Formats: sequence, structure tokens, C-alpha cells
Amino acid sequence: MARIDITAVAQPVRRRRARWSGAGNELGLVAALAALCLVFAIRYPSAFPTTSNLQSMAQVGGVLLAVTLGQACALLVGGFDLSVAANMGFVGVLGGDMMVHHGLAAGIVAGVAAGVVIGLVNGLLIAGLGVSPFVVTLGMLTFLKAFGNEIAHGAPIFGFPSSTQFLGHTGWGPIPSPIAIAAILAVGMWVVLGVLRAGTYIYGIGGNREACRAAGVPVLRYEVLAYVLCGTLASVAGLMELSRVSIGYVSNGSGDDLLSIAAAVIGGVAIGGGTGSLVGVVLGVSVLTVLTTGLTIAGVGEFYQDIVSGGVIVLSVLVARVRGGMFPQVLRLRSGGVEGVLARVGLSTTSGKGRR
Amino acid sequence: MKRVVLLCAFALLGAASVAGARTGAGGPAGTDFHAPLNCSTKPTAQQLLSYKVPKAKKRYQISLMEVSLNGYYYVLLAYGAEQAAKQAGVDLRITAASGYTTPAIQLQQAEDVISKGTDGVVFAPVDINGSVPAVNKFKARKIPVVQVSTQVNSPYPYTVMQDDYLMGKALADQMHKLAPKGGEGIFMAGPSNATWSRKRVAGFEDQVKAKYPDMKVVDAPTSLVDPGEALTKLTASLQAHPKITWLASVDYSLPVPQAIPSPYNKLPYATMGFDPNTQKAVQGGFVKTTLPTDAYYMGYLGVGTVVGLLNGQEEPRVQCTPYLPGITKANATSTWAQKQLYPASYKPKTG
Repeated sequence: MARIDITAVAQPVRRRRARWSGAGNELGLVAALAALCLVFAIRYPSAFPTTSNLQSMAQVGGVLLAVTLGQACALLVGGFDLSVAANMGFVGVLGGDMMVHHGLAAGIVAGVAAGVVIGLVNGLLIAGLGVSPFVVTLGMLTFLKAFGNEIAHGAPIFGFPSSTQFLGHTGWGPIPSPIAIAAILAVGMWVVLGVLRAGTYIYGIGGNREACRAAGVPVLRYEVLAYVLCGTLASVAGLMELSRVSIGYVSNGSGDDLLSIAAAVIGGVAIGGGTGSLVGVVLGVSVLTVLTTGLTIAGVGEFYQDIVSGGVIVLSVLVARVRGGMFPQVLRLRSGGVEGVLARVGLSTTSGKGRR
Repeated sequence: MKRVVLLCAFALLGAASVAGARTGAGGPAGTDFHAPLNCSTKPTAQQLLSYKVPKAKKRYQISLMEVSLNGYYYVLLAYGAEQAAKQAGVDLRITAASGYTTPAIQLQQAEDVISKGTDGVVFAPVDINGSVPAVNKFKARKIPVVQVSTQVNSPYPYTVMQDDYLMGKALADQMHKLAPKGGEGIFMAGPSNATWSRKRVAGFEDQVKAKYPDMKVVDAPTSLVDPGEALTKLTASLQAHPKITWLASVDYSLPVPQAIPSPYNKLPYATMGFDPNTQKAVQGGFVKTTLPTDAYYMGYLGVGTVVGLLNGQEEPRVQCTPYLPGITKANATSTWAQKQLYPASYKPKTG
């Protein structure tokens, strides 16, 4: 079989890795974030632009950032992980139980080890056996919830050692512990995806799996690695959430499965893989956190909050599509026609390649 | 094309997740949230403690249909039902749906229960209207049904339930005792469309308006029965209302008392429900008062009522469980408080 020159694969990958290093243009998200902050700060000057609110948002955002960093890995290789929230809840029960009976260190080791195993199983089934990520991670989600309930007998785990509070409840000096931990994880992810060869391969697999395989990249190994990273970071987020809410419960982290995908997509990580930036992920998480906190401070009802949040997610995806080239086509409707626009976004009834 | 389909699916899923992941039991139009239950009997705590289920005339097959088994409340309910079944001399089969707003699952389970054969049902509805077809299945076969925990829009079942509206009023009384000077406070609500939560909030607010003009509910953030979400909502609400003097919630896990940020964890905090962690929080002073929700007696009295009906006895149509006395540091280990807990080794047997 003819081997493809690795440089052909590496060329676009290098550009994408540059984006993960933070060199990419994330000005749009920064502007959106600044606008949101400005609106809330002007409207609620005594509540929003305060140190305590910043700390409060850092606590919430730190946990979401940790799980989103992992989710981004799964997205980068062209998959996704619906089991991250269940992973968080399961680790809350397993790690929490170990903490109660054997101390903090045992709880952390057990929790992180569980995350590694969960990611490994997901990765092997998806990359090794070719089962759809949707099926595998949905199955894992169901399994973890049931297994967690079996361990906990449906009850919450409580009574952790006081040192547990440093994982998500109290600060590391003036810095809220969740954001401190998330920052460490982000640096680690920058090293893995932006410096190490593993990052090149993870981007490459998401960009063009077959080309990578033909170029001799061990696709299976690095695709599994992406899911292991996802599972591990979700488990760390689970330990942080356990500490933040002072209880280990199977429902801990509920909603973070799809929120983490939403935050990553808002941040520019492509569904389908191959593209994404660390700065974008941080900004995506920040936008969601500021939005939900601001709306709660504003006293907006739960349903309206959901409507707004859902709208932002859909809008972000559309903006991502526009950035990807749909917008110029819309402007050239007269020359390209409706079919041209549809083809550009992949909705054409005839293949784009078939058009003259 | 595949990528766009995936993209659209995720966009919709994302929107649905934020919107759909936060729902609870139904709160339909037409439900009067400001009205108490029409109770036939209101046993006191002492009467409940001395209540014994009737002995079954034959070994009936009883089914307990739960909303879920993920949560202390539901497991305690199952424990109460199992204890009653043992004492009455009947067989108990437990099923659980997948949480609130899963009526299709509960309807399927109702059909399964009927096909396996059941003499009577203790039924916790997953939705006030969505669970009506399941009740109708039993009604069509003249199988007696006792609804527990929350309401279903059908006159057919007997009822064993806490009166959420009056519990809300009682909590306001307790709160004012704890904060006699009144002041501003936050009342943490449950799911926006959950009947039980809306009734408790309505009762609390009505009582504050009627009796305590010096108290003011400045915010009542809603959340799923999810400690993490509730904590996030509370901390955001505290930014807008930093000068509150009291704190209350519709459920002991909204948020977990020990997670309330300092200095607000020093404020008087009253809530509803009980579990081992809340017992610890009461003893540690994080919670000043909690009104028990009697999940044990929902199961216990529920099975007892079904057995009574099958024996041919007359049973009261609506039995309202007591929420007083509230559990405080002084009675946190009393017999009444212990009846709100199940043994740590207990695990419900389903199937």
C-alpha cells in the first residue's frame, strides 16, 4: 500500500496546533464575553462586578472547564462523550466512599483510576471495535448511573475529611480551588495537545483519519488516549464537584455532559474533529458561566434562562458555520443560488462536488 | 452532510439539555397551588408511631411503583413499604420509573405489573396528568390504588401524602421563630414545574404575607433536585441579595447545608425532609429546623391502606402525614427522627 507523506497530514495539523496554543483569533468570543460582562455590570453594579461574584463564578466555571477540556479531546478525534456527567456522579460516589473510609488520598486515587478505566473502555470500544461514540458513551452513562446507585444504595455519601474542601469548596489562598485545579489541567492539556507529538496525532486523526493511518500514525492508540484523557478529566471534575457540594451523589454533575459539548463548540472546537483551541474552550466555558450567573442575578426565571442558554448554543453553532464560509455564500446568493449555499453547509440534494 | 447532521443534532441536543435537564413533576394549568389537601384524617406523629398495619387475610401480591430509586427519599419509601409488607404478611414487588416526567415508562411498568398479577398498588405518580393512564389501567381491572408522595389527576386512588401547602406555611412559622426580627431572606425552590415544590413555595409566601410583614422573600430560585445546581443558583442569588438575614429551602439538599458559603452558613436555615447528612447538619448547627416528609410512612401507611382495602375494611380517602414536630438539635436522634431514616445496609429489592 502506498504511504502518504506525513507532511501532507502535518501541514494543516500544524496550523490547528497553533490554534490550540492560543495564537488563533478568538476575538469574537472575547467581544461577546466583554459585552455580556458589561451589560450585567451596568445593570447590576452592586451584584455582578464584585470580587465575591468573580470567586463564585470561578468555582462553578472551574468544574465545567475541567470536564470541557476532556470533552474537547473526544471532540478533536471526531467523537464525543455523553458519559462525562455520569462519570462525575459515579466518581462522587466511589471516590467519596473511599474518602470517608480510607482518607482523601485513597478517594482521589480511586476516583481518578475509575476515570482512566471509564475512558479506556470507551476508547477501546469506539476506536478498537468501531462502535459509534453515541452508543458506547450512552451505554456507559446508563451503566455508571446504575452502578453508582448500587454502590451507594441510592443514598448520598457524606462525612468527608475536612481536607476534601481544598478540591472545590475553599480557596487556595485567594484563588478558588476549582479554578486553580482547572488552570493546572489546562496547562497540562496545552502540553499534551500543543507540545507533544500526541497532540499532532489527535488533531490529525480528527482532521483525516485515513490519511493518518496511511502515514503510519497509530490511530487506535491515540484515539483511545483522547478518550482516556476525557474520562480522567471528567473524574477530576467529579472530585471537584463532590467537594464543592459537600456530598457524593450519583446525580452530581448532571447536565454537564451536554453543557461541556456546548461550551467546547461555542469555543470553536469542531464537531467532527480536527479543530479547536484551548483559549476557545476557556472562553466558551466563560461565556456560559457568565451568562447563567448573570441571568440568575437578574432574577430571570428558570425556563427563560434555559431558552436564552439554548438559543446561545444554537447561535454559536450557526456563527461557527458562518465563520466557516457560509456567510460569503449567502451574500452571493444571486451568483451561486440557493443550491450553492445549501451545498456549502452540506445540505444540498446534489453533492457539492457534482456542481459545476 | 454527515457533519452538518451531527452539528444540528448537537445544537438541538444542547438546547434540549439546558432546557430539558431541569424538569420535575408536572404542575399543570388548573392546579390550585394555594390550597391545602382535603384531608380525611391527619394522624399526629405519636399516632403514626403507634400505627400497625393490618394482618392480611391472605398472602396478597402488592406492587409499589416508585418514581425512581435514585435518592434517599425514594429508598426510604421503599423501606417503609417493605416493613409494612413483612408485618402484614404479603408479597411486595417494587418497580421504579426513571424519575419525574417519564410517564411512558411508568405506563409500561403498570402493564407489566398487571400482566404479572397484582392485588393492589401503592403508586407514586411521575406526573400529575401523565400518570392518569396508568391509574386507569388499574381502575379498569378494579385493582385498588393508593397514591403516595405526590398527586395524580384522578379521583380513583386513595391518598397518603404530606400536605405541601400547609408544610410551606409551617416552615414560614418556624423561620419566623428562628429570625424573630424578620428581614430579607432567600427561599430555595425545587423544580419550576414540580407540584410539591410550587405548593410549598406558595404556602411559605402566603404565610409570610398574611402573618409576618417584617419578613420578605427577596428571591426564590428554582432548580432540579440537584445539590450542585442549587448551590450555583444560591451563590448567584447571594450576589444580588448579600444582606439577607435568613435562608430556607423546600428540600434538605437544595443546597446541602454544609456547602452553603461562609458567612451565610451562620444564618438561621430551615428546610424540609431528612436524611443522615441532614441529621448531621442539624446536630452541627447548619440547619436549625427541618420538617420531615415522612417517606417511611408513605410506604408503610400506603401498604397498610392497600391491605386494609383488600381485607374489605373501610379506609380514609385522604390521609395527610404530619410534618410536626420539626426536627431540631434537641430531637435529632428521637424515635420520630429515626423513623425518617433507613438502616445503612438496606437495599431495596426490585423486579
